[in-house]
Amino acid sequence: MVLTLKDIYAGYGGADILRGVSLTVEQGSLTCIVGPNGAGKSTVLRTISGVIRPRRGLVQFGGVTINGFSPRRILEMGILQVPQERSLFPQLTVQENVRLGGFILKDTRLVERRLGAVMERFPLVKERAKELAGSLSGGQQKLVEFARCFMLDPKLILLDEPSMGLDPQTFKQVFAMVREIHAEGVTVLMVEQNTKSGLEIATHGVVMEGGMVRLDGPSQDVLHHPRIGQLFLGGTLTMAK
Amino acid sequence: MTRRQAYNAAALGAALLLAALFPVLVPNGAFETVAIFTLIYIAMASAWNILGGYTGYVSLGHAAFFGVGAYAFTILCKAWNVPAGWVTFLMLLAAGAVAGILAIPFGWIALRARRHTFVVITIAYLFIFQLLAYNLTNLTNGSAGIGAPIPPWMGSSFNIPFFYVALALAVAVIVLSALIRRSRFGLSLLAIRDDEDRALGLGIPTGRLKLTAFVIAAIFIAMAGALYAYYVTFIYPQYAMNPLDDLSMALMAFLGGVGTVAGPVIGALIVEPSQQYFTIAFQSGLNLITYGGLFLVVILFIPRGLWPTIRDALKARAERVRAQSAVEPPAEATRLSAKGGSS
Amino acid sequence: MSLLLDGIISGILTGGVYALMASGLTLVFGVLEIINVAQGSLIVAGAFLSYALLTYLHINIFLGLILTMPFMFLVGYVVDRVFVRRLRVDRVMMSIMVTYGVALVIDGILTMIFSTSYVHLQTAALNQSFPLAGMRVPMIYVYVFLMSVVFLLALYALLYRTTFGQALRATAQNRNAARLIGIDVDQMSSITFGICAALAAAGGMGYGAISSFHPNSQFDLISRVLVIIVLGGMGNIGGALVASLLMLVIEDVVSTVWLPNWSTLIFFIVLAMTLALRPQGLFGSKEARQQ
Repeated sequence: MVLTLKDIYAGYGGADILRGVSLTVEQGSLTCIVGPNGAGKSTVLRTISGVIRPRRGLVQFGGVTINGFSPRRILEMGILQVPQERSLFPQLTVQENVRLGGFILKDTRLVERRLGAVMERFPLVKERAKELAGSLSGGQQKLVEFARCFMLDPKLILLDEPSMGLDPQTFKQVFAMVREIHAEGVTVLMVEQNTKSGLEIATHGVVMEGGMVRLDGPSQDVLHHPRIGQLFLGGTLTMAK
Repeated sequence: MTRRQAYNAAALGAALLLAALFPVLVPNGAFETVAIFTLIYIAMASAWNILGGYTGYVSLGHAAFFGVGAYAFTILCKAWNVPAGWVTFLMLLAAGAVAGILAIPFGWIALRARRHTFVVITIAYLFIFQLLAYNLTNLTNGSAGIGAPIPPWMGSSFNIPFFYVALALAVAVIVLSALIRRSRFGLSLLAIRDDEDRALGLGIPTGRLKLTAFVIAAIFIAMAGALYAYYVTFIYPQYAMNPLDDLSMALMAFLGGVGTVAGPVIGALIVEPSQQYFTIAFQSGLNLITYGGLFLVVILFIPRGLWPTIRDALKARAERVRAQSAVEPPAEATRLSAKGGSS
Repeated sequence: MSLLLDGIISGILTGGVYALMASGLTLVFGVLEIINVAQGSLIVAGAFLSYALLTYLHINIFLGLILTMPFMFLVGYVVDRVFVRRLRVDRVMMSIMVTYGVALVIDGILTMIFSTSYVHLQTAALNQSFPLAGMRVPMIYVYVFLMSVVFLLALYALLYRTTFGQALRATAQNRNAARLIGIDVDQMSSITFGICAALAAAGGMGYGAISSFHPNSQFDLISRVLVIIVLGGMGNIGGALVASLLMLVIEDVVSTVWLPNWSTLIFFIVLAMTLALRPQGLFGSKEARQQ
């Protein structure tokens, strides 16, 4: 199941944020998008998950054109998004949160079976099952968000800055989880502010700037590209013509 | 002065002259009445906009101050035995002062809440004041209503003093609104509208400034109420404190362009005459449907209002013409050689 | 002393009806993040529907709810679908404007059909009463109170005992996250608005049975119900229930023991005093202060 974006133009009603993005995410890869603030990295993920609709261009997954699909149909295709901001329901318990991950499933027995499996796999979910999600720390909430993805059968997980606002300890945990998910054969498309750490665990790297893809290829190549150093310093990557 | 500024000044002068000559050009009592009400609403909507438009704190209760002004004018004229005539217009200032003082505690309480709770509280204010007008019978004579001084002018000259005082009030509020818009105070109000927490972080005393805007709006709306009371000569709680007036002020500002100086003026010029027409032309009920329907159309289809929409369209056209010569081709992406795909 | 008791009892009985009206409104705020200022006119519309069924078709007002509630649900659903759903920026402010416009249109329609005179839902139960603590309580108050309790329990069951309710609460807590797990947030919103209007229909019937009304009553109603939900903490259903009972008891006690004319003012004074001390309402959380 390859994900391809072809010449995407998209934005939030006003001017386009994405201006002709083309991108391929190979099956089984861990692709990391890096780039300065405002490059349109998160917008790419939101376009794929159907939260915003592109004005022009195609999003295809496994050969099916999915742009214009409702967020629900995109979920049904196995594409899940873990957004940058907190996406648990703070006043519901951890268990209720995870169970809601299977909201689109009709088969209640399947939901309970998967819930059991998730509990086995993620000790945190089991230990804190009855507590309100809002009482968990930021990193724990992020892990529960990952766990929730496994209520469905994920084929592609979209991660928007999973490391944001985490202390170094939790950061490691979260990144270990990302590797684990990828190792299981789930394709991961991740946006990461932390350029170096992101590209180090990735198989593929994509550099975006100004709503366009400036550089893409195997992550090691991107990481060692002569001009990438500027990005580590928080600078921009304006390509000289 | 640039050519553009000179052009604007000339246009404003011509508009003002035309307005001043209106009673001469259209010597018709009915039209003059509509014109007087329109001017009163221009003053009200512009005053409302200083609070609702500049700070983003939409009040649906300032009509209460219209009523306060109307009652303060009427009651004080009676208490101080103010004779009816030109001098009576000075009592507008007293009405404004009463409302201004009342607005301080009420504004302080309402402005402690966040924006949407603020709206709810202001709605409640209208009913508090309406209830007071009904129940403080010693002062207001309750539902039986109370009479203001009877103006001494007769026949075709009756409207003239009211027209010019209304014009003066409207111009005063517009000028004030424009001055505020350009001042540091105005800039701070706009900062509050965009991001109150950040404004506070920048050291802007948000609470005091919001309250000032609240009180300024109340003072001028009250003066409009006093003028109304003198003009119609008899006031009742349900007309002096009318929830529809709250809606009207908001509608005018939103239709014309909330937060701009010209917006409320344009809105009032359109809404008030048509409102008067609906009331005469349609049966009771149908006028409400038309009014509400118009309101919905404005909010849903031109939420930014007429003035900003037109202005931006003109600006965009000018820019398109300018930009036509210089079109940049987008930069190409660099594709690194994929050495055997995944690592 | 018996006057005080009188006030407390009638306050609790009428408070139930207000709880019904307020719970819908606060639910809409929670799920849609908008303020539905048209609630007052929806309540009055519900009362007039019951009035029409009773007067022209001689349908019992309680039985009539079988017709009026689904109808009002539909009205609410359509209002959201056509007007509220379009609002994308500055939703709270814009929604107040839009629903105010809707309120005026409903007001106009009611004025055209029923004119502006006061009416009352006349029922046989109105004239029956029973003795309680040395006074006579009209049966209709008790019936209306019981109806309110039944609907509030049903609402509770819907929200806390069904998957739909869980999804609804999830939507209220985090709209974006709800969308990401496949909840159709727009659909949820329209249904919530419909529920709010259906509760307004029942509340309106209750209101019409214990007091007289006309199209303009919406202004009085909306300001009272808004005061209640602000006091209860916006979006907090439990808070709205407590605030309803509290406010109506205070109002009725003031009315019977002290000054009938001023009781409504007490309503607003309590609001002003509470907000001066706690801007987020009695049961609102500090967190909700973020704009």
